[in-house]
Amino acid sequence: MEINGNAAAADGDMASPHLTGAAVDIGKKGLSESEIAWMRAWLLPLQQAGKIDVEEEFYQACFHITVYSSYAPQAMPRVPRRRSSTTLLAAGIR
Amino acid sequence: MRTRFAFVVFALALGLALPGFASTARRTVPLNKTHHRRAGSHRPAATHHAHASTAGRAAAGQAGPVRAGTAEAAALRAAAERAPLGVTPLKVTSAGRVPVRRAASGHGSATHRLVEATATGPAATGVAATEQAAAEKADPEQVSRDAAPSEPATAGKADSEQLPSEQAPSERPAIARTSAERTAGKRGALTTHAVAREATIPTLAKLHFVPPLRGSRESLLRQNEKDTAEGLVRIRDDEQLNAMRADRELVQLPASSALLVNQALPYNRRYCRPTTARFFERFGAGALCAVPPGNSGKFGGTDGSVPAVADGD
Repeated sequence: MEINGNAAAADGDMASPHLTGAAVDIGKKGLSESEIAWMRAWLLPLQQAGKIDVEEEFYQACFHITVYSSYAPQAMPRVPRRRSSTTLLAAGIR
Repeated sequence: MRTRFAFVVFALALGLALPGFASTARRTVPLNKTHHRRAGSHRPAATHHAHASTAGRAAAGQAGPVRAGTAEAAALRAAAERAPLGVTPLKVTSAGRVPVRRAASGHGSATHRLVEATATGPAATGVAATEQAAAEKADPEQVSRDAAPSEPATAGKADSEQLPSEQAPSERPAIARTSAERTAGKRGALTTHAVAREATIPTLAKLHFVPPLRGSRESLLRQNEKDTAEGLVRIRDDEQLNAMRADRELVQLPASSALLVNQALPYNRRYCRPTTARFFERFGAGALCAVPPGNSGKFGGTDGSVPAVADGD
């Protein structure tokens, strides 16, 4: 069994947030500088809004992202269902 | 015998008493020989003037001895006094070539150097005008006689008001500069000048530099506090993991063409919270929209690599 030496503890204040299922790492390998800059620019506003927490790791070259429950994209406003024209036509015939 | 000796003594005494009479023969200067004045020499002023005037006459093409004390010698002496030191009358030739004779500062007979300003631009005409102005003071008739057919010399004559000190030395050819200007140039090389450096860089687009989002201990503590506050429990073992998957508390990672999952990650570890999955869906969609032109449509490097998502450590 392989043991990750960089893994955080399972308990305590310094425990890894990955155990909750809310944190995911995104690797930076293969990304150009501009693409990494795009990711930073995309993640920074969300972090400032308190919806996520981002830690950029350099030893493992990844973005550690923890998403909170406050990150809930607003649901699309419900549009009243329109009846099809054939239904209206049938209703008019009746 | 005594009478002759007494006469000789008397004549010598008379010669000492009248030095002008005795030195008259020495002041007669043949013009076929070149005489030059050394800078800082100890000759009397009258001798200086005589040599300068004879040099000017030699440059002007005149010949014949000039006896000191005559009206011609006085006129030449006055002209030499008006002329600046080290400058003798010049002869302006055609096509803007101005041979400038200067009094050399060293010894020897071949001390007159012929400096030709070969440039035909305004700088050369400026030098010619300066030299001509000095020569015109020394011998106005000769200069006007020589400068009449020459077009650049006429143009230089119009600019004769411009003194060498008013003209920038850098605009003149280096070969036609005076020794004082060369010395000033050497001194100028040691001095520093404030150079106004201005550059206009065209603005292409607004670039917002985002610094690296470095983690910290406080950030890790904050994450744990928030997770605890939201009521998120830590997964202890596979049984708890399977139970959460069955309860839909954990959903599969939204793998797509824009977001790949690390193949080394076990299948039962490719799950996350629904909110996290929603976030990555939108993240993948945003990455697809931001694909640079020329890429194969995948998010990642130009070699087609795609960022891998690793869930859990």
